[in-house]
Amino acid sequence: MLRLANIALVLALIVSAVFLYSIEHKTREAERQVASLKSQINEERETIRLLRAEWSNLTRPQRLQKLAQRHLGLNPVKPGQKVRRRNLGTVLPERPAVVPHAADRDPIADMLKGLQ
Amino acid sequence: MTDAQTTGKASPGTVRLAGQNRIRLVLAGFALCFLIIAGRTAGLSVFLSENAGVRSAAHDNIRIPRPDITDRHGRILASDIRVASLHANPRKIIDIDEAIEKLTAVLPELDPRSLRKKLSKDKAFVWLKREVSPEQRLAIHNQGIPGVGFRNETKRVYPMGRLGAHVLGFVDIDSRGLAGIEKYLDGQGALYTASLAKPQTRSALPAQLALDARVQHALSDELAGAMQHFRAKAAAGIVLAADTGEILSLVSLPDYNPNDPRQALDKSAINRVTTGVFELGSVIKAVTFAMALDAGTANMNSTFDARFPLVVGRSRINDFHAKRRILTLQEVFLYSSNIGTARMALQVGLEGHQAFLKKAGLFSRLRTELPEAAAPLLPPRWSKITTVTASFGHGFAVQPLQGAMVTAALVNGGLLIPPTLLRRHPDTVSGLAKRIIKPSTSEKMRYLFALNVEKGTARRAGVPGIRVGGKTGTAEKVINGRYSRDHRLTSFVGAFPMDAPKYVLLVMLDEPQPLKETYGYATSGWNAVPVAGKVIARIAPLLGVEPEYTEEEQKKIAAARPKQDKGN
Repeated sequence: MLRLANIALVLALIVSAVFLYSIEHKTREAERQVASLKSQINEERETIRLLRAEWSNLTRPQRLQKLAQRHLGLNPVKPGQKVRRRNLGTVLPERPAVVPHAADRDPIADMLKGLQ
Repeated sequence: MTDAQTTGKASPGTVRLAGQNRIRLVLAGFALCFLIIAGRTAGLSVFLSENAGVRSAAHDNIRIPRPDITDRHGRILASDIRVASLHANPRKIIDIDEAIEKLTAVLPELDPRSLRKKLSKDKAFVWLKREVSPEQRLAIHNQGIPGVGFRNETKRVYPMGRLGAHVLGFVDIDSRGLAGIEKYLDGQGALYTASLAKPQTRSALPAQLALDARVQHALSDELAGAMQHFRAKAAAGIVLAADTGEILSLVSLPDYNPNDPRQALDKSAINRVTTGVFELGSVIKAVTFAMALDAGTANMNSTFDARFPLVVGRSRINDFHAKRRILTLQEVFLYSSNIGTARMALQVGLEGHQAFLKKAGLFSRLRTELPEAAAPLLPPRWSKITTVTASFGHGFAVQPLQGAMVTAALVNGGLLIPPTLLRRHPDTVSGLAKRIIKPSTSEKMRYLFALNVEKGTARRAGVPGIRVGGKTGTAEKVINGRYSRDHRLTSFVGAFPMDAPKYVLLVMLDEPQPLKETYGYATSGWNAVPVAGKVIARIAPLLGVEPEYTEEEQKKIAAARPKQDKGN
């Protein structure tokens, strides 16, 4: 009875020891992973900072103005180039009158005829 | 016997009992030990994470980085980037010649002779080069020179260069703020800086300025053009949000590049907007008008005798655009009559005048977040002649920013709001604002400002579609203790759109020269005012001010349009 208990206990000890070491091993592995991920995150953060600074440097208005004037022929907005929507009618050119197609004519058929 | 028997009989039982007790005791002892161990293990595993966090933070020992600085739309104006610096341990270097050869191959700017001197020293640490680019770093790393290594350092960079230099300031090599907002973040504003920090992630939120990078560029571009065109010594400008006091743009030329702080040492590169004080001249007349209208000593129908120069003691006050007749209040404003304005101030009285200027914040040093702030230059005694000259802006000098602040108060309904460079929530304004004039007076001032651009001295500031109002100023500079006729400081202060002013603009040119196309004039109306017009035309679309054309303007635009089409 007592021997049985002893054997059971020894077995339990071995099992738990193996379990413990496997867990510890996994923990170490996970810790390493966390550390490497953390450093990776830091690295990425640094890169983001650098890229954001570079973006800001490349999009600085002085540079954009120079580039736009040289390559696109763009200039700052002049007064009169901006109009409110409800005043659009006063600045738009007269719209050419729309000629509705006669109901009995088929424009596609006309086109096809023209092709032949 | 019976005793022995009984004891004999009982003894195995008692012995057994005693033995069992001992075993139980031992079991209990072990159980306790294991419980303690189990409890301790559980405790450690539960609290381990926190302890480890504390330890790793202490171990890394990296302080919270300096916050980035962004404009009001989140564009980065200042940021920290990591750079590698090259160092060496001369004791560990085996072959100096080889090391020098390899290093100079990657870094040609290194001088071989000084490099040899450094590497021959009997030291464990020498800097070889600060701030090495990533490519060079990789190249040196691949060479595998023993005893040479890199150390990461942070470097403050200003990606937009000169833009907003006077606002941002700069830092020293150890990232300590030496001027501008950078200094504020370390000093007075340390509490604000701390509020941005996020210790958990060892980062900080950006410090958001009220500045708008686009407006800043537009203003600085136009001012630089004007400075060159009129051959002025310096130029300055401010765009202020009239109802929140936020400084959307602050330009002072000549400026410097904060990436190279040595440029800032040049005396001409001071921040004229807050560090300099100037006699703003006729721009201050608007303050006198507001005071008189608010006090009720003058109304919109008052008239002022400007037939003769005003004689006070030994001084004669004359007009630049002398009309030699009795002027109405509006005419006094439109012709910028010194005599009329002086009479208006005298009607309010010396004490009232002083009290109002004090209330308007013109007598005290205006403090913003910028550590550089000049105190106003005030006359030592306040006499009748002082009131007379002060009414048209002579004899006392203030920061140009104070001029903009007061103008904002005159047009925004009468609230004096301390200007700020940081983003300000509109809800917090009411707690900071101070009423200096009645809303009805402000309305009259708006009318006068707008009228002045329509047909007064500030006509050239007009922009089609946008109702601009403003006042011009031409002050003669004091050279060797005397007012000089040839050294002028011209300025324009105005607001737009005039129906409900949202933005106040101040433009100042230092010693603009007369040109042929200005018919030899160098007064404000010929230089500062047209520049202000150009600035407004350029920044109004950026600020979302919708144009509203009058019929006349619409015709003009329509007439100009076909020409444009042909050109295209």
